[in-house]
Amino acid sequence: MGRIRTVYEFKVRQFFGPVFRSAATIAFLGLAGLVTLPSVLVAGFFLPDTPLWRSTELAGLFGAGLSAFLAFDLLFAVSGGTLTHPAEIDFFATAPLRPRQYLAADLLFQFTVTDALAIPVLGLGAIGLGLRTGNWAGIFSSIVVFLLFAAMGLVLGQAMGLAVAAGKRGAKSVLVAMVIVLLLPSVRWYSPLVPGYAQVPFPSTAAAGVIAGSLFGGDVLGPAVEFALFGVAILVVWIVQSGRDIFPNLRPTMRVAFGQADLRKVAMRQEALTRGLGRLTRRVTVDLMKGAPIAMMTRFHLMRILRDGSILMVGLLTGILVVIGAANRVSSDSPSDFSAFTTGWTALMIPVILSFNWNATERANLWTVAMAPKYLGTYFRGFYRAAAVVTLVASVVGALAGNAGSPIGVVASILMAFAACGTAVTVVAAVKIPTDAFSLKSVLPFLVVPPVALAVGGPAIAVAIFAGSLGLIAWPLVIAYAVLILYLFDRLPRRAALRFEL
Amino acid sequence: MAAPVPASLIIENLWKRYDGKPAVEGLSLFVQPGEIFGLVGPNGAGKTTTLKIVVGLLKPDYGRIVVDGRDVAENPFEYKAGVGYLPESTTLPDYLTGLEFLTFVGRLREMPREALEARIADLLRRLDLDGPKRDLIVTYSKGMRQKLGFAASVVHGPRMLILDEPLIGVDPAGQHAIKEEARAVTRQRGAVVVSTHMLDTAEKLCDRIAVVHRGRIAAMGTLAELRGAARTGADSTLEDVFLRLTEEAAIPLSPEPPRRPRFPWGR
Repeated sequence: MGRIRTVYEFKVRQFFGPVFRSAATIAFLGLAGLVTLPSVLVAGFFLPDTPLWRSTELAGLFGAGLSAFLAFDLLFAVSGGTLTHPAEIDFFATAPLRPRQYLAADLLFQFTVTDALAIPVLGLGAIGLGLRTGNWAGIFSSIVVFLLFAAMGLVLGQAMGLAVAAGKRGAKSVLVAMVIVLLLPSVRWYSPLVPGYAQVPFPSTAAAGVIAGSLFGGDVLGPAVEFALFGVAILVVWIVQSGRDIFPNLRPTMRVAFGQADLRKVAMRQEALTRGLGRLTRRVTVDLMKGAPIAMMTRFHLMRILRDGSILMVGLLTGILVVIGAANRVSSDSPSDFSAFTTGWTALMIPVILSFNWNATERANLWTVAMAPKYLGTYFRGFYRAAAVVTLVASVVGALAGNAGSPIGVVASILMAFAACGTAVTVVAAVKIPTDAFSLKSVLPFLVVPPVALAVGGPAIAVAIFAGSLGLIAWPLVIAYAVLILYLFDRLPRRAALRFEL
Repeated sequence: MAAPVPASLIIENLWKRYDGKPAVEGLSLFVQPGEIFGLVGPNGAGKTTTLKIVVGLLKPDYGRIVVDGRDVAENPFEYKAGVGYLPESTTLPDYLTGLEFLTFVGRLREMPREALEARIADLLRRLDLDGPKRDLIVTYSKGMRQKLGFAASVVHGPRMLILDEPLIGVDPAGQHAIKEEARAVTRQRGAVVVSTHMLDTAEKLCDRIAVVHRGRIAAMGTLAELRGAARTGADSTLEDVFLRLTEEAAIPLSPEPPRRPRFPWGR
């Protein structure tokens, strides 16, 4: 127990180090808590008034949420299943520590950083809900079941991650298959041929059954037994995995501490995660010898986005776009410009993330291009075009998942995406942004990109809204505006390159 | 290869490949108690891979490792109690102080509190880290970080000390302190293995040296024995010997490791 405690304390101390060391951070977090926690209490109180609470498919919705939660745990497992600081590998894994001691400490730590911090939020929400419904026992049981489920997800994720890190044949395929199977019942929202979450026996649906039963009455015993059986099975898998010598397979997955916004370290982690997904990113190559300089630069940036880990964040944001699309689709049968607009608005984050990643990983390498200043403008124009391609692909996927909206609404979203890409690239080309924490400059793309994109998309949205009144002139107006915008933002990064500093 | 007295470390026919690319190819050596043993070789020769296998951070494809009479394959954990390791590039937890970090490492090594406090105080003083011991590691210079990493590797008083490029970025006083600490281990009949590119240091510090090239031992022995093997003359430096041996050691490589693994985890 002593060594487990020592490793756990080390992990907590080093992870929360920046918080422990800064009175300003503690004050900021305290203030944020004071502002947000009361709203959780209020949200809990009014939860029974929401359509969600009255839905006849609440158990299925809970099941969907918990399945996504579990899928996230499993996706994290691709990177090795543990949260390990590099110093732990050098100085702990070379000490006479048993794998199970290390893994138990790691699980405790993972639970601390991912779930235990949510307990105050859950607790306050529960108090609000309890004050409204009086079902204190049901609410308390639900929280306990949720925390047990969260712990179960971490245990499974760690065990599967260790198998992947050990290079067990088929482990990664099994992991990916598990994620797909967990998310597959969401297809029922589009097709009745696939069984929904209420019909499938997952750990997540069993937990959802217990929670729904506790909150609304109904059978609790059946799902509880099912949940317990899943728990035992997962524990057995963990016991088997943790009995092996895991130290040669430990990976340094935790380079960034809490509140530490070192973008270079974040980017390194993304890159490491991409590597964890396999050799896919290395297998995709482009011929940089072919084509005009601008085409070569665009292909170069597309390859870089794939290899430096940016693609992970793009994938995550595309997933959010799909969820937004699906939500819009469920709430409305007809195409809506609002739907297209929300999709476009969310897509704005993609160029922002791409520019952040570029700034963190690539800026310092630019001395190679800077030595040939003739191509600096082409370099940034290529970056803009590559970002636009990636953002448009993500937007199209999001649009296909939901209601696409009217054609002019779609054009507005596309223009917003182009404007966002052009602005983001222009900002990082013209302004040297530090990669360390908490500076105004470091959040500049976040501050500048959305307003510019909104300003660019606004006129097209206005045309879409008043298309009926404008009549035949609507489309020529939009096309002329689109050409102007595309021309302008294709040239802006090249101008910004003149101000570039290494 | 037979060791004349019970050796602190025996490596027998070690093989390791990364994705099919050879890193260590049938490497064998032994280190005697009371000896500082140097591993020198070009980049990519397999030195770091060998050391990582010895400390349990890598699994070999084939081979046998015995530390202080204990076969590592039979119990891959207990032997580590007597081993200290300083990696090639040390990554330390930025938001702990040097004192906190050493305390964690010592507690993990289950040192009694009083002994740990005394040992840390002694190490910090000798490595000139006493002043900044309560500063965050993030504020340490490269050399200070290296010295702190070294302190962590010896805080428990190991019988076998494995050092991978321990002197890079360290000031002369720090280098002297590190060498003294390494010699202190050997005075207690412990053994030290040092991997380094600093040939002059290896020449002065090490009792015996192995020149590693392409995953194999190109030559091994005292400097005089190496001079003989390299036929470089009695006044030649280790650099002359090294250049000659690595040039000569372009021997044809064996295509595959032996088929039957002696380690339970071997392929």
